[in-house]
Amino acid sequence: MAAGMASAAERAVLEEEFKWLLQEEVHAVLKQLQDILKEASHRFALSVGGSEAVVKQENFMLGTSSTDQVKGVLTLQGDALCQADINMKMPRNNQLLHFAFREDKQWKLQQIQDARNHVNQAIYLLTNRDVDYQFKTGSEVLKLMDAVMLQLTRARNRLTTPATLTLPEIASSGLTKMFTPALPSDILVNFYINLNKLCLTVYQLHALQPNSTKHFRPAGGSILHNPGAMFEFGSQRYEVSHVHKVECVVPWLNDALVFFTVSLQLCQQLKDKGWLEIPVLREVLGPANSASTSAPVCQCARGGTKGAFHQWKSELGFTEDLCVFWLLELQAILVSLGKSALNSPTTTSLLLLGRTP
Amino acid sequence: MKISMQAVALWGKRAPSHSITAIMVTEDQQTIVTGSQEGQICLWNLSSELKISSREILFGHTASVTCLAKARDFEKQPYVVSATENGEMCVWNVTSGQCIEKAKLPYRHTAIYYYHCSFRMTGDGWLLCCGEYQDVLIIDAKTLAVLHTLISTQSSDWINCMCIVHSTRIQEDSLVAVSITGDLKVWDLSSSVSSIQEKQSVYEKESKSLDCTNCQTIRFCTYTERLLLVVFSYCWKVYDYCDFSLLCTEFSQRGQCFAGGEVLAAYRLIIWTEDGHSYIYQLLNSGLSKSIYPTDGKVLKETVYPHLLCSTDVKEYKSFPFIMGFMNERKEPFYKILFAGEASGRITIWHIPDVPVSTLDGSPKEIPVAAAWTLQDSFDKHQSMSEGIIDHLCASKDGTASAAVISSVYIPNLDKLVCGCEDGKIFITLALHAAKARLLENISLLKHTLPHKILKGHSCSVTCLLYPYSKSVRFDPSWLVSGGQDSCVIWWDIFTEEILHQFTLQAGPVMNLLLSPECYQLKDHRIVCSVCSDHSVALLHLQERICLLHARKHLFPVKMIKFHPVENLLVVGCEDDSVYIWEIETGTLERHETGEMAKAILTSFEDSHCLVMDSILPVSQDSQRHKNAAYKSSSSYKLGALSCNLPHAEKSSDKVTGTIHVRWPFTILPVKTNWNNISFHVLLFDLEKLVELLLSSQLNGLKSSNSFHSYDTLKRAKSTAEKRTLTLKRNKTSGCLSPMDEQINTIFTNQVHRDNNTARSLEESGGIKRQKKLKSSKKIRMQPSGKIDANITTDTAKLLLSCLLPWGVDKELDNLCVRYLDILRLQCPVSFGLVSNENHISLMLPGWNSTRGVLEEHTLINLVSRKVLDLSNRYITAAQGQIEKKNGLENDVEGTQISQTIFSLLRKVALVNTIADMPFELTNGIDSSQKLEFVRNRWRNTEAFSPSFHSFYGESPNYKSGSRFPDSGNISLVKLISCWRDQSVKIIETIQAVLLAEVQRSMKTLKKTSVISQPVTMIENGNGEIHTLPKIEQTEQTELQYIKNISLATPVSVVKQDSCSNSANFQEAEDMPDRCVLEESESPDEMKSHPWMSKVCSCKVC
Repeated sequence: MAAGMASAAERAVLEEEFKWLLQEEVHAVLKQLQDILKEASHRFALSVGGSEAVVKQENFMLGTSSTDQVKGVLTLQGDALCQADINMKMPRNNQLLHFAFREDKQWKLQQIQDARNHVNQAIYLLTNRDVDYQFKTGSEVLKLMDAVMLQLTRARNRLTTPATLTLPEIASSGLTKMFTPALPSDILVNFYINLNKLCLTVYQLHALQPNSTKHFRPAGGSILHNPGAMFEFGSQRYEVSHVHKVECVVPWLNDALVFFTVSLQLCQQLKDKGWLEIPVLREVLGPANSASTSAPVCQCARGGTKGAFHQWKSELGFTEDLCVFWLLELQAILVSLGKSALNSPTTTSLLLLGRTP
Repeated sequence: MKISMQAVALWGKRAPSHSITAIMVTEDQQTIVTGSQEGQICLWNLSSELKISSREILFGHTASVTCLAKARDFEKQPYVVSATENGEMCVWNVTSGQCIEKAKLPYRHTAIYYYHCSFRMTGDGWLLCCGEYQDVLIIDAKTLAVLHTLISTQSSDWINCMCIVHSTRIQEDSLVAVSITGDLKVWDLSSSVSSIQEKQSVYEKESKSLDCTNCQTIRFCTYTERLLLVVFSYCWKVYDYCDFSLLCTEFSQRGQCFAGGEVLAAYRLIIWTEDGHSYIYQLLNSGLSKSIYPTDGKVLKETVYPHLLCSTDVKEYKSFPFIMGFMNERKEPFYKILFAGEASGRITIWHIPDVPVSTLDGSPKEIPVAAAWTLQDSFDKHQSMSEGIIDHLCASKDGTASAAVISSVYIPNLDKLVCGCEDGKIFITLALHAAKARLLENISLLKHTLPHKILKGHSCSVTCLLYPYSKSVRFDPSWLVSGGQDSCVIWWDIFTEEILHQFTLQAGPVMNLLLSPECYQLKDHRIVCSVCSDHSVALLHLQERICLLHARKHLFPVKMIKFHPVENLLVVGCEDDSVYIWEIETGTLERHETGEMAKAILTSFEDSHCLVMDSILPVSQDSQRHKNAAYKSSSSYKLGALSCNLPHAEKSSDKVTGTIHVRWPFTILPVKTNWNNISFHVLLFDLEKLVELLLSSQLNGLKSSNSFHSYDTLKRAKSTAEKRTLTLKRNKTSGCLSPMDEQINTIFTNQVHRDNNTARSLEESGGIKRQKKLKSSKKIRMQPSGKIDANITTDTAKLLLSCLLPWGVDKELDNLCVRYLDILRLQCPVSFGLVSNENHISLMLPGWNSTRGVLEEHTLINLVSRKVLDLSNRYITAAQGQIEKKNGLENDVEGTQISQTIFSLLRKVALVNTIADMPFELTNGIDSSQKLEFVRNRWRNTEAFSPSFHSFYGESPNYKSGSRFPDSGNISLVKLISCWRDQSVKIIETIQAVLLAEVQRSMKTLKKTSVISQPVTMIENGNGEIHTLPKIEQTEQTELQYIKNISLATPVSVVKQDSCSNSANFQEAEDMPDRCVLEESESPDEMKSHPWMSKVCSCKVC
């Protein structure tokens, strides 16, 4: 217990430090966070307020290698695929099939839309805690961080985990009706995002005869079904004979994912700054009872507060082997960002980080 | 599995944290409902003078509550639906606190509206939901199953907010919604009811971009039936509902974000902000054009402009964000209320005048706050109710305010409660005694003599405790492991109070302590796994006193720890879905994986059941682990996956904990809350179990022993256990005889009790054997699990009765209870709990009784509501006829002992609980006789544990007379009670009413008889002879006869002796040799005549 008796002077210092942590340090980190998230949000190229500002269209070539049976050109506009041009070589007769989106149709990529919405929610959570806002308690910060992290985790998970669909679900989705010329009945198409890649899968089917001796077992939900998977759709049974999967990296999705990871770590580090000890001292006990919080612990908490940036660096150095992947990615982004971006505090700090190892 | 649990909450001085994320006022303006980030829902009383007081807190959700809404026509059924971040939905009855329905869907809702179209719809109506998914979901209000979706064809996106437009002019209910990108959409509701029921696609009728994002609220003006108010975060706009033309726009002041608004009256609006301001505007027509049917939108646009009339503000310290709402009632007794909830947990309400006016000089008038309240205010106001279970222990030491309990653990087999305090002390005390000392009046004596120990070792607060033996018998029962904020893990011997070892981790506060799984490699090792706040995991080898591995590289909080037994690997799953694999022997990080690979690794380990813990970590959710088990898949929930199945391991863990609780009639459940780390305790009384135990003691004619057994259980246990081993050995060799003493009966209690749980005890015996093995090398330090002291049972029953009785209704009655039932008055009202199912419990908060007048508060101590008195009177009149019929039987009750009265009272309580708890469906459709049959069967099922007991019933007049249920006379009472239930009388009210009536009745008779003579015992033995014996002198004899009866009539009981031979009563066993030996000595004739018996004896014990 002797160690637990903090002197009045020490208490005063601690109080002072806690105030500083709440008023200065938190805002600094929040600013950083906001900048990163804004950067991420820009990647999703949202036309704000539906002001008809034309969202940039990007073309992606899928299936570039000569061995690919399926080749496609997809045009992505924000969260929607507005054009798709698919060429397919039938394996049996080398016949070339071609189909494209109808002019009046576009396909929403739900994953991108959700990820974008989640990021914007996270930004919205941060906006009304600008510099003017005074945090009073540590738990307030923790709660905010929890809420932000929840949105960010969801945004990231939305991109990293495509929906697991059953074949009848794919067959009944509106996607099959979007093409001109209409898709042959023995072909199914599915688009999804997996991490930073835009994926197109084409399933070739063959109808199972009703009197077929084959043991029919419908396949469950999956991201990618294998040849041999069976299903029943519209009272007809099918079996997947060929599966073609082609994909292509969407650079800005990659950026967004890196930003998510970085901001999640920032949040966690802010959370880890020993809030739990100090609130006990401030919020609940009041001055009279606070002596129970021991010096070593406060020391520990203090260690976390001094120079968040320092700590960040050292921690990153410490986990160097784990972070190599995204550090490299970061550098690539910084190069692509050009000069203007380098001036913003976020990117500078990111740059610094990138150079530490 | 429905458990008839009676719960009583013992709060601490500090209220659990409750950061409000959702708030609503019920339509009767008597209840405020708030949902919190911690996942709990609070019910607050709102008095007619607009005073707020806390009433109940509802546990059940495992994640932050996102929205609340009414779930039925409120006048008929007071139901409210809540939804959370992780997709859980619950329907609660806000008058009783019961969870009516629960579901878990892969959708996160942000707003829910109840819709019922009486002339087109059957059933209970729909919940229209929007949230983090495209468009609008329709969920059945009764089953919580997704019925259908409303689809939008154009720019389909998340819906931010919506409202139901119901207008007599338009003759069509519509749903107006605004998407996250600012597109306004309108769906027809009433005309699409049939197509929704037939699952046809329903598309929006209209879609229009509003050119503004972050829409917060949309409201239709029912007064003008024309205006549409749309509040965005930076501006609010008024549209004409006829053609969606813009009528006016008002931007927010710098830095302010609008959060919502409501229409007060025709052309009068109230708008509120995130920082707790609200503004009341009058929309003024400029007079240029008052035409209702404007030809040009632009002309009209100029005719409306807002004029600020009034404003409200919160002056004191604010915490973001404010969640506000407005309740508009035009009927007389109701008010126009503006209400706000804050992250700090404070509720503020304003009374908005019917006609708000600005000040004389035209400047806006400030409307004062009508009331503000927090949970902590309630706790401070009702200090006696919010005293913690061991507060008096700490306080008595040095007179200063007691340190809060941070962590605690209940040891059921020792009936000990271990509490870790904020100041580093660990208190060990007798659980039941502590509860009694806390709850009952006039036992300051008990408080001082309350046996307790203090373990001093931590320098600051004790954050977690682990009693390894309760989880795995590999560990010694004397061990306790504690973790502190000082980053120390201390290994204690709780009997000798010494520190066996202290591990210093230097990794921040210890957040959690877990046990290693039982797998081959680690079998002989006693390893404890500790998780620290720097997300490191340490494996501590207790006996070798070393830290095997300290895995420190985790960047995110640890979510899962698994062991790979073959390769000796530690697999750590973090909250960011990454996985770290550590080699235990070398302490090196072997692999770090993220994404798909990580998931694959974790699922591959799922099969080897080495699951140590799940998502429930300090910050994530409160540690009601066994309650939340069914929900634990929450963290693994992904939006992408449409189906969410519970991992098997979790289910099984739920079961395991379930059985632990069923076995004990009395349990203390420590609950830890989020954020402020405060723990409180819930006392759980298992009614059925208690009745069953009391019954067994009744059968043995056990006289109730006095309620304080203030010996030191532990030391006693130790010594008796040692002796027992000795006597056992002796018996094996010589089979010596020992004189019988009066304590036999308690042994028999155990025995009979064991009969009752044949299945259970069989399970246990396995455990005991294993335990035996372990103990063969060591001293036996304690009684094995599975036995319950008869004294504890009686004490528990008395405590429960004390808690349930409405004290202070009748002074005389109180005194009679104290005198003849030997129960004590309560020192303050009790916070009751209502267990809806394994996962949902509601607990009353301090101040639940404060709606009553001041005068009453002084006299009435524990009356749930005024209704109870009324109900109790009705019960008495209903029972009147019956009393006469039963008169002959009543005599028996009068004559018998206190314990029997207690027993019969408890049986009534358990019965009432059973009836009142029955689901509606079972009783609604069927006629009353069937209903009764059902009740009876159910009752029998719970009563009739083994055939041997059935045969015994016939010979036991005590049983017949005292409490056989339901006799034909009781039918009317059962009817009455189930009728109350249908009128949604709370279970606790019913119980209190019945108890009060029963006590009044039995006390009246007791008073009469007790004056005349000393209590006598009427016992009829198996041969039909009647002995009326002076109680005290003759008990031994009667007991003896009973023992004989049992040994003759119930073969099972003797067989059972073996399995419980270990589990001798530790207090009496000291003077008691083995009971088999005893039986031989006492009843040799019987033994001979029953060869099976001697066989059993010879092969297993003798």
